[in-house]
Amino acid sequence: MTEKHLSGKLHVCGASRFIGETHLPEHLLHIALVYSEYAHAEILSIDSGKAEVVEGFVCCLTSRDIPGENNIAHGNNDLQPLLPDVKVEYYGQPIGVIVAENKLSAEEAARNIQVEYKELEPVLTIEEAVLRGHFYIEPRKIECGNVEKGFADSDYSLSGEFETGAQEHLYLETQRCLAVPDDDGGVTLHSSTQSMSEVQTVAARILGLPTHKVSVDVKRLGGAFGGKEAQATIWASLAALAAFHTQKPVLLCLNRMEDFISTGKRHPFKNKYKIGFNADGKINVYQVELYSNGGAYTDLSIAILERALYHSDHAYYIPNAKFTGYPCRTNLPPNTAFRGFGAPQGIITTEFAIQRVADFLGLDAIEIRKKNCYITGQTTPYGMEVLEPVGREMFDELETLSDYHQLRHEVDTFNKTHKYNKQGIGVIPGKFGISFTAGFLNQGSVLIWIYTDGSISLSHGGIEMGQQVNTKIAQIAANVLGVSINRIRIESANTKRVGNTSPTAASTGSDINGYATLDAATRLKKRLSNQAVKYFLQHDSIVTFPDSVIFRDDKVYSDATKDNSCSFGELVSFAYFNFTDLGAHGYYFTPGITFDHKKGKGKPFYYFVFGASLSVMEIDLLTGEYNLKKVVIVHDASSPLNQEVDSGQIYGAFAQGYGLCTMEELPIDQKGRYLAVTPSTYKIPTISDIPDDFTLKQVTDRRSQASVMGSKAVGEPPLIYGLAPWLAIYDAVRSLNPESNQINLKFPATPEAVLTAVNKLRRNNDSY
Amino acid sequence: MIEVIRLIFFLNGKRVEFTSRPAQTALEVLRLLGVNSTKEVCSEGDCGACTIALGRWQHSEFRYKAVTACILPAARLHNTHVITAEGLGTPDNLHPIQQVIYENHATQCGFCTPGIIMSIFVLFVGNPSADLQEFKKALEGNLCRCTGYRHIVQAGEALIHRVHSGLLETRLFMPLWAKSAENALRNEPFPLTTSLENVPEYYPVESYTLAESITEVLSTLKAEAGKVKIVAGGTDLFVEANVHKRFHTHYIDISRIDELSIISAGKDMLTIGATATLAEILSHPVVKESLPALYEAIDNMSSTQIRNIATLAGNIGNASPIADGATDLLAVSDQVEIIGETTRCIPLSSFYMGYKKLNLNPTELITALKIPLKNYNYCGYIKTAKRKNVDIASVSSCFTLQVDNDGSILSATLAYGGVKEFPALALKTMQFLIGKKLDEDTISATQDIVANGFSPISDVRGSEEYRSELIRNHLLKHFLRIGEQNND
Repeated sequence: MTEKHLSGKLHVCGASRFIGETHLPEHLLHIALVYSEYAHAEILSIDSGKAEVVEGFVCCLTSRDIPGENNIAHGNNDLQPLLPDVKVEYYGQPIGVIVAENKLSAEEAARNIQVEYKELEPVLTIEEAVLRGHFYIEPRKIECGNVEKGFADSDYSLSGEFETGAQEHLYLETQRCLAVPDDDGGVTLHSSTQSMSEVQTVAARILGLPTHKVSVDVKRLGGAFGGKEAQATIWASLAALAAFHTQKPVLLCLNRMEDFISTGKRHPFKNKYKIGFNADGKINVYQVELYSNGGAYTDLSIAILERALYHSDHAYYIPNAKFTGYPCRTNLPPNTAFRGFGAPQGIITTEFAIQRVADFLGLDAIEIRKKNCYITGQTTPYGMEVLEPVGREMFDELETLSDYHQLRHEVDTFNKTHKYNKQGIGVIPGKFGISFTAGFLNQGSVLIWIYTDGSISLSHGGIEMGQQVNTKIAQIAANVLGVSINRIRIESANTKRVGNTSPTAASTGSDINGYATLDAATRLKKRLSNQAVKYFLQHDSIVTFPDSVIFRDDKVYSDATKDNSCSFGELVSFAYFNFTDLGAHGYYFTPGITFDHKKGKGKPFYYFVFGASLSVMEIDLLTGEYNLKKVVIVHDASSPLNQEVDSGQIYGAFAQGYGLCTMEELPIDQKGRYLAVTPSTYKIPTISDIPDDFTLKQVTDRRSQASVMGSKAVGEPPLIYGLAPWLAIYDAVRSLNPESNQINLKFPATPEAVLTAVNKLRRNNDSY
Repeated sequence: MIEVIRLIFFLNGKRVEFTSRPAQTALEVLRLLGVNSTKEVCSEGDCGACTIALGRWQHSEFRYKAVTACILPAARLHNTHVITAEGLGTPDNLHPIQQVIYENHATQCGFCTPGIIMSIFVLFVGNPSADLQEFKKALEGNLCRCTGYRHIVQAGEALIHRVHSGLLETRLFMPLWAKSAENALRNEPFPLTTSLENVPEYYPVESYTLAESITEVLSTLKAEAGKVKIVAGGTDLFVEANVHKRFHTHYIDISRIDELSIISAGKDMLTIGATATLAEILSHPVVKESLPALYEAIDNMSSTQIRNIATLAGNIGNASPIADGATDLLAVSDQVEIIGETTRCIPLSSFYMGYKKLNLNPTELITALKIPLKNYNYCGYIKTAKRKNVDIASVSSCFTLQVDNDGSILSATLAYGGVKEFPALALKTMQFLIGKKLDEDTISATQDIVANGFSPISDVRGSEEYRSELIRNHLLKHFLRIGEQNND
C-alpha cells in the first residue's frame, strides 16, 4: 500500500493550520509596510507625522531602529539591508514598518508616511547591466577539451542567442511571519520559510542577539517552490524587529499584490551559444555564455548561475566545451531560487541549439539527442563521471511508450491536411544533478523520541511544503522500527529541536533528512534490540541475539523462525524501566561533494536523475493560441520511497515548466515595475490546460547511484519535462517551412509570441 | 458613523449571527467566525481557494452555488446556508469527496484543497451525473500550483466511476443537517437589521444596503446622487476594493430584488433582468438555442464561481473595454432598459460614450437587457486570450449573419472587444457586407476594411500589432466557421 499524505485528511477538511490564520495570540499587532516607489533612488527623508495620528497606530520602524547589523544577506561577502537607509535598489523594497492595532489602521498609517526621494536612473535589463559592468562576481567558467580545435574539426557550426523570461512562484500562501516575544528578550518566529536556520541566524543578527535567543518554528507551508528559500527571511526579520520593539506578538502577512511586486522571481537569462557538429549529427563542441538578471541584491544568484552552468551540457556528452556565466546586478527585486534553480535556463538553450542542429541537417531532433546522449564512463565538462547508462534507456523507453515514429507520421499527416492549424512534437531528456552545489549544505539532522507508550515523536530539518517530506521521513522511521506510520508524529520543524539546518531545497529534503532519520532510527533499534534480548530471556526464557531480533508490524520478534513476540509498546516500556535512552539524534552528510571554482572542476552532485519526455502541441495560425494534446514522460525513479508522492511531484513540476515556457509572462515597465501583479494578469495553468492524454512511466529499477533506501530526489528534475511543449510549438511553427533556419519563437511562447513567429516565418517565405 | 448590518445565516447547519461592517467580504466574515478552510489567496476571485457552497431559496427552490467568498459582499450571506469543507467531514470521518481526493494524493500543500473540495461538492449536488469534462470545467476557477492537476483529475475519474456504478449515492453527499437549515430559512426568513457604529475616520465605507425593491434603489440614488454605487454581482467592484483599495461611500446592492433576476423569452425578444447571473443566463434554454454566440461568450467567461455571482448587466455597466458580454451583446443588437425618472430603452451601441463613460445618469438604474431573437444563419463568438479559460481577452469578437435564399447577405453585425476604449461595432465592414455574397473576394476585402477600422493599444494583454492581427484573423475565423457550418 502506498502511504498517503500525512496531513492529507486535515487538508481535505480544511483543518490544517497555516501561519497567521487561526489561533492567534492575544494583543496581536499588525504590520503594513512602506515600499519604495522607485526602482533606484536616494531616500531624502521619511516623515511619519501624519501616520502617527491614525487611530490604532503603534510605531513606525525604519533602518534607524535596527539594534543589530542591518544586513539580511546570508553569504559572507554580501550586504542586503533589511531596511535601506540611504538608497532604494528596487521598486517595492520595504523601507518602513508600520505597526498598528489592526491591519486597516496599519495600512492607513502606511499610506500617510511621506517619503522624499531623489530618483536615480535604474538599470533593468541584462544588456544595460553588461554595458555598465554590473556583475556580482568575476565570470564563472567551466571548460574541457579544446574549443578552437573543436570548431576547426567540425563540419558545421551554428550560433545565436536565447532569452528566457522571469517566472513568479505563485505559492498559494503568501509570505508571512508571526513573531512572538519571549520573556528573556528573545523572540519566537512562526515563519513561512524553507530555511528556518537562515531566518534564525539573520533575525538574531538584525536584533543584535545571540542565535539561541531566536527560535523558529515551521509547521507547514502553503507552497514555496524556492520562493521561500532566501526570500522568507526579510519578512521574518521585519516581524521580529516589530515584536522586539513592541514586546507584543506581531503578524506580517503580505497580500497577493505585495507578494507579486516585492519578491524575486526566477532569473531571466540571456545566453549566447555556438555549437560545432559533424554531418552525422555528432556534436564536437558547445560554447555558451550565460547572463542572468540577478536583481538588486545577490540573493542566490551565484549558486543559480552555477547550476545553470553545470547543466549546460544537459544530457549530452560534449568533448570540447566552454561555459561562462555572468550574474548581472539590476534594479529589480532580487531574483531568487525557483524549482530548477537555473538549470532550466541553461538546459533550454542547449536544447534549442540541438534543435537547430537537427533542422540544419534535416534530421529528426530525437536522433541528434540519442546520438549525443551520455553513455557510461563519459565525463561532464566539469569532470564528473556519468556512472550509469540511464539517459539512453530513457530515450528508448520514451520512443516505445509514445510510439514515436507512428506519432511523427500522424503529426505530419495532420499538418498536410490542415491549413490553419499545425501540430508539432517536442522531445526533451532530463539529467538533473542532485546535491546543494554549496557543498556544506549537504547535511541533515533529526531528533527522535520514543515515549513509554510506544508512540514516537520525530523532528527533522526538512520543511513540509506539500512535497510530503514528512510522509517520506515517517515511512523511513516506520520501516526501520517495524511500526505502522500512525505511531509516528512528525513535529513542526523547529530550531530548538533541530539546529543548523540546511534549507529544504535543491530537491534534497528527503535525501539528507531521510538518511539522518535512518541513522537515528537505527540507533534506537539497536538499543531496543539489546533490550529485546533481555526481554525474551526474562519473559519467555528464550536466548536470542540483538541482530536476530526482528521489528515488524508493530511487534518485536525474538528471531525469524520462532513465534515469540511482544508488542512494540511493551518492549519500549520494558526498555524504559531498564534505563534505556529512548531519544536519538541522527546525522548525515553527503559524501564526496567537492568543487574547485578556479579550475571549474569537481563533483558537485551525488548522483543524477534521468528522464525523457514528449509533448504534442497544436497551434492556431490565426491567433497563436495552442492546445497541449499529449504528454509522455519517462522518469528514472530508482526505488521510490513513495511512488504516488513522486508522481505528484512529476505532474506538478511538469505544469510549472509548462507555464514557464508558455503562458507565464512578467513584463516590466521602464520604471522597473512588474506589470502582471495578480492572478488576473499573470496566468498559470488551470486544470483544463493539462491534457487527458498524459502518460507517466516511473522506471523503478534500483540504481547504484541513488540516495536513501535506493530512492532518488524528485522535486526539481521533472520541471525540465515541462519545457517540451515549447519545443513542440517550435516544431509546429517550423512545419510551415522546414527549410528555414530562422524561426524566432520567444520564451515564453505566449499566443502573441507564437503568432509573431508564424508571421515572421511567412514573411520570410514570401520573400523567397 | 457607519451603518452596520446584523447578518443572520446558517453556517454548516448552525445558525450564526454577525454584525458586519459595510462592504466587508463574505470571506472576512467567515474567517472572523472561525472558519479555517476558506483561504485568502488572491482576493479577486481568480484562484478559487475561498470557494464556498452558498445556498438560498430562490423561486421556491433551495439551491447551492459555488462562489468565491473573497469577492462576495458579506451582506449576501444573510438568509443563506453556507457550507464549507469543515462542514462536510472530519479527519476521522471524511466525506466521500474528501475521501477520494485524499486517496488519490490530490492534495499537496493543502492551501487550495478546501476550495477544490467545495467546487466538486456543488457540482455533484447540482448534477449527480456529471462527467469528467464537467468536472474539469467546474474546477477551472480553482488554481493549484502543486499537483499539476493530474491527481485531481484521477480523483474525479474515481468519483465519477463510483457514482455511475452505484457505489456512491450522490443524494448522500448533502450532509443531513442541511435540511433543517434549509427549512429554517424557508419558514422564517430573518429580517435584516441595521445600526450605527463609531469607527475610525479612515474607514472608507459608510453603508452597504441590500435593497428590496426598485423603488428603494431609485429613491436612494436620487437622495444621494453621485455618492452611491450600485452593486449587481459585485465581482468587479470588490476586486477594486480588495486589491486596489478603491471604495465608494455608499453601496446599494440590487441582487436580492427578485423581479430584476427574471429571464423571460417572448416570441421574438429575450429579456434578461439586471441581476440574472451569468450562470442563470447560461442555463436558459433559449440562450443556447437561439443565441449561440451569447452562450459561447458566457460559457467562456471567467469561472463557475464567478458566473454564479456576476451579471451581464454588470458586465455592461462596468464599461470595461474588453467586456466579453458587452462585445457579444453589441452584435446581437441589444437594447438596454434603464429606469430613472422615466423608463428608457437605448441601443447598447449608444450606451458607451468613452473609456468607462456611459450614457447613464447617476440617478438611473439598468433594469434589463433586451435581445431580439432572430433567425441567424450564423451567430458566433471568438475570444483570444493568453490562457484558454478564466482569462481576460486580448481581443474578442462576435459576428452574426442573415442571408437570403440566393446567398446574399441581408444583415451582418460584427463587434469587437479589446480594440478601443469600449466594445465597438465594425460599422464599415457591416455596411460593406450587405448585399454581398460570401465568396473569397468578399472575405479578403472585409479583412482590410475591418483592420483599418480600429487602432488598438498595447498593454499587458497584447501589443497593438498583435491586436490588429487578431482583428483581421478573427473575422477570417468567423468565415471559416461559417464554411464549416454550411458543410455540416
